[in-house]
Amino acid sequence: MARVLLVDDAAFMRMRCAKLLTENGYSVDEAENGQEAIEKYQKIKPDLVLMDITMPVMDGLTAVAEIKKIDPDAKIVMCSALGQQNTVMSAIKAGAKDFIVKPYQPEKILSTIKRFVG
Amino acid sequence: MAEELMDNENQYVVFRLDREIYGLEISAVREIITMQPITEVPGTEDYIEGVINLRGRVIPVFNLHRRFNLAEGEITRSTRIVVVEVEGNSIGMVVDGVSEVVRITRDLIEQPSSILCGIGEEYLTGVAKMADRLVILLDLNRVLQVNEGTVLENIC
Amino acid sequence: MGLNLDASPEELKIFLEEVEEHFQTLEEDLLRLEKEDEFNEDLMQEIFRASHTLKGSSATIGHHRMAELTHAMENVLDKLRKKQLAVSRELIDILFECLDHLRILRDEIINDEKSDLELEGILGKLSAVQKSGGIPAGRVDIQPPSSKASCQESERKIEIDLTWEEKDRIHNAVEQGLKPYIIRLTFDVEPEMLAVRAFVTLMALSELAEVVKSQPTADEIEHEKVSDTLVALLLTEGEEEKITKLVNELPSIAGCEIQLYADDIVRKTDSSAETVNEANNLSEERNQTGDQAKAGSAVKNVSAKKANRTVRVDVDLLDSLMNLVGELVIDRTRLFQILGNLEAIDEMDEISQDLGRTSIHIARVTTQLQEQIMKARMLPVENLFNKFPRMVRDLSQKAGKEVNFVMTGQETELDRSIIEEIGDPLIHLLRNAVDHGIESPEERRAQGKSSTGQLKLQASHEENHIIITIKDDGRGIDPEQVRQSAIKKGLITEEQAKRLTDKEAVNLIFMSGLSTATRVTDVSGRGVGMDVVRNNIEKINGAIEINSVVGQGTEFKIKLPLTLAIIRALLVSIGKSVYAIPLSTITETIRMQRKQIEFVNNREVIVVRGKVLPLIRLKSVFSGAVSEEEQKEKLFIVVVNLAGQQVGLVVDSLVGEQEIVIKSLGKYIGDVQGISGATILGDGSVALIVDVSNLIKKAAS
Repeated sequence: MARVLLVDDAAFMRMRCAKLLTENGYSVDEAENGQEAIEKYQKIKPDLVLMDITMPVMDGLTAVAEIKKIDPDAKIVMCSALGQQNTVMSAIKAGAKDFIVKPYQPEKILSTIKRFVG
Repeated sequence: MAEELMDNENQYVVFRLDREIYGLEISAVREIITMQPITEVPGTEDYIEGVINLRGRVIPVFNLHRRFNLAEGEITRSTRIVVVEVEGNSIGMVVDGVSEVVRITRDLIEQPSSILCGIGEEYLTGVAKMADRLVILLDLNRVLQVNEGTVLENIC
Repeated sequence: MGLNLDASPEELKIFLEEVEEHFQTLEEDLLRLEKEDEFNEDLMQEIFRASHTLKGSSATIGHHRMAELTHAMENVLDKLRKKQLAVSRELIDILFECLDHLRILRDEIINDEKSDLELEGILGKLSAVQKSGGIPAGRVDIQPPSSKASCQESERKIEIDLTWEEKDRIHNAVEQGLKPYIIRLTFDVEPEMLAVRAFVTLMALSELAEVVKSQPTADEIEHEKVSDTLVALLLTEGEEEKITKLVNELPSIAGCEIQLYADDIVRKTDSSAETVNEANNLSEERNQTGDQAKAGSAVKNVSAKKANRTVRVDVDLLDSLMNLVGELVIDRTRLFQILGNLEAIDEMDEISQDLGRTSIHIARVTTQLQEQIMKARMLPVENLFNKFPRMVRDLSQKAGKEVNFVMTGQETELDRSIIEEIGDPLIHLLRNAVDHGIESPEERRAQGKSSTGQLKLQASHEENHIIITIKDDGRGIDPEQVRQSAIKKGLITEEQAKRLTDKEAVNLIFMSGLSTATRVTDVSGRGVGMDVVRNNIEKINGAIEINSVVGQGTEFKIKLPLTLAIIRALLVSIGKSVYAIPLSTITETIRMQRKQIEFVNNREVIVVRGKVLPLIRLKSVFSGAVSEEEQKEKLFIVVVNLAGQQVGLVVDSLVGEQEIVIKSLGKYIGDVQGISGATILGDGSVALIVDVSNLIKKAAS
């Protein structure tokens, strides 16, 4: 069972996404911000990270760079809202694999995740 | 008591007040307890005897003697508090003694006006003419109605 | 009309909770933003984040109007944080208006009914502001565009310009057994995201194959020189299916054409592309049924891990737990009474001692249980205080006052039912402070004060009470003005007025029918006077006190019990009955000789430390006149104090101090003068609770 680390400061978004993923057979871990994401990444080595961009404490872009330092093979998918294209571009260049645009469409999330972790 | 009730009959808790026998529909009666210390609440209507502690709840106790303008009763070993429940509220009523539960068929009940003696007819639903006695059937809601004009006249 | 939101009830709960948090953040931050002179990047980011998260979440549940508004807000906030817009009073007003609108939209969710709120006005304002400060950002369709990849067969040759070096590279590769494919992809994606999408797609392709050339190039894409089409020449060892499979997996691709590149030879795509096509259709169908299932809100029980370990509890459950603990508290007292009786009878035998030990244990557990449940019912006053800064801001704007409002002690906890009760009185006091207390800037300057008035709201814990103070540095309450006003309204005579100390005179504002406001504004003067404030506070066994100095300001001090259900009380006996007097009202108890009683105006008083203290004989209040022979030589006086008024309650004896559980007398008993409720004592009997506030008022009249 693939492990996905869900990083978002909004508990509602995490809950929703976690529900979708667990229902589709993924094991889900959650982090509230970039800092927590790095800590959890080191601890649990997830197969994939879904990373929100706008978060307190540490934003998603910084977190991508940090995680990539720890694990150059880390698979990170950015969760972006419209209007954040520049940040997403930077994140992709920093090593994120893809991005999903909010509001999430379940099939898009699933197909994206599937592409990376099966 | 396991026998089924007939369509035209009801069970009543029968109690004594002064020299008269009264009946209350059993469905309204929650329990009957022995007399216990009643805390008087100053400034209330005279027919409110006070309050008691019923298993952690504070409930009011009515003095039916005063409510019905009967001679003041003495507390004896047979004095009981009949606890009734109306709209979720428990209320106690001091009576001189509880005798039994009886079945009364509807055809035994007469309208109060024809034979009443003692208390105001506004408190009654009727009078049951049993073989050996008369049972005055109380309209609980009226008895417990507070803040009304308390003009209780003896009809006889 | 329902909103048809796409979220389960549990999800909505979390959603609403978070929304409330973000509203709060926005409110606090906007107030800060207004005050701060310098650009505060962190603050701006926080405001932006709150709005941004609201947008994301509301769009996700399908609350389109909320998403639309937050999106428009975000555009403005984005400019603010990039310093393309300057903070102005007008802008803050608009943002506050947004917040008010958002609250209405939030309520739509709670009520599951669309409100008649129109967004045009506010959206117009936002877009006007936004345009005033730079390039307008395009309006965004909140509805996510659907995207489906489908590989098309193409008869047409896909063109790509290649340099001779690139052609050479292809040539060599083909000789090594690699296959060259040319692929044309069209994107179906939000225009803003086109560049990123193209970039990601190109990256994905390059992981599978060598990208010899792409139009646009990676560099162009990075600089957003993109159209909705991407053409690329790929070299791969694998089959065409590998590429089409990848393309199918890639999101937001509307069209895909693929051909084997062979110089000028056009090769039709083989059947594998069609297979892919079918598979694609299948997956679309599956998605649709998936959507339907979701629309029917088939909620599976999925335990999302929560960051903190909490459960939601119904308030009713807490109330009933509190009642049950009340029962235990009574029984605890009773147990000790029984134990005492046992001890009195004879020496404690083995069984009695055992009972004693168990009782002590039960008592201890009961106390702990009581404390824990009381804690569970506690909420920080923050929840209540939170709405005040905005309120004070609006009030002072309306009244043309400059007010610096400071709150402290928001973390102080109070029983939730008390918080509910105390809200209105606090609002009233704050209104009064802004409206009548704090002077206009001109007036303040004329008096040599700073033009900005200080208003302080403070909560703190003091032993078994919570103290809330409201303090302003305004004009204060003029005792003389209050005296005159009271005389004019016929509440007191001129004689009485003269005798009142200044402090007593100021306390007259708690009398009904007295208002010192010289004019009625829409802020105060709503018919709710200080008497109502006082009543509300005393109703929950609280007390209020005023300290006011003319020209320097006014301080209201509110003392509240920690909980409503259980209070500490002094038990006293009057005749054969035992009464309970709430400890929060008692200042001291005094033992006196009967001969020390003096008469003033035919009323009994005693002099305590030089002060005249009016007496109330509880016996005569509760059982009529007291005859001479009934009077005892030794008197016990319980001095009570509420709202600055002191009286001595004369009782027969003091029984002791105890925690009591407040019980209502019920509707059949109704309101009784001088009695606020009942409680059950350790011996099982019922004692009445003295309504001190009622007695003091009666004594005053």
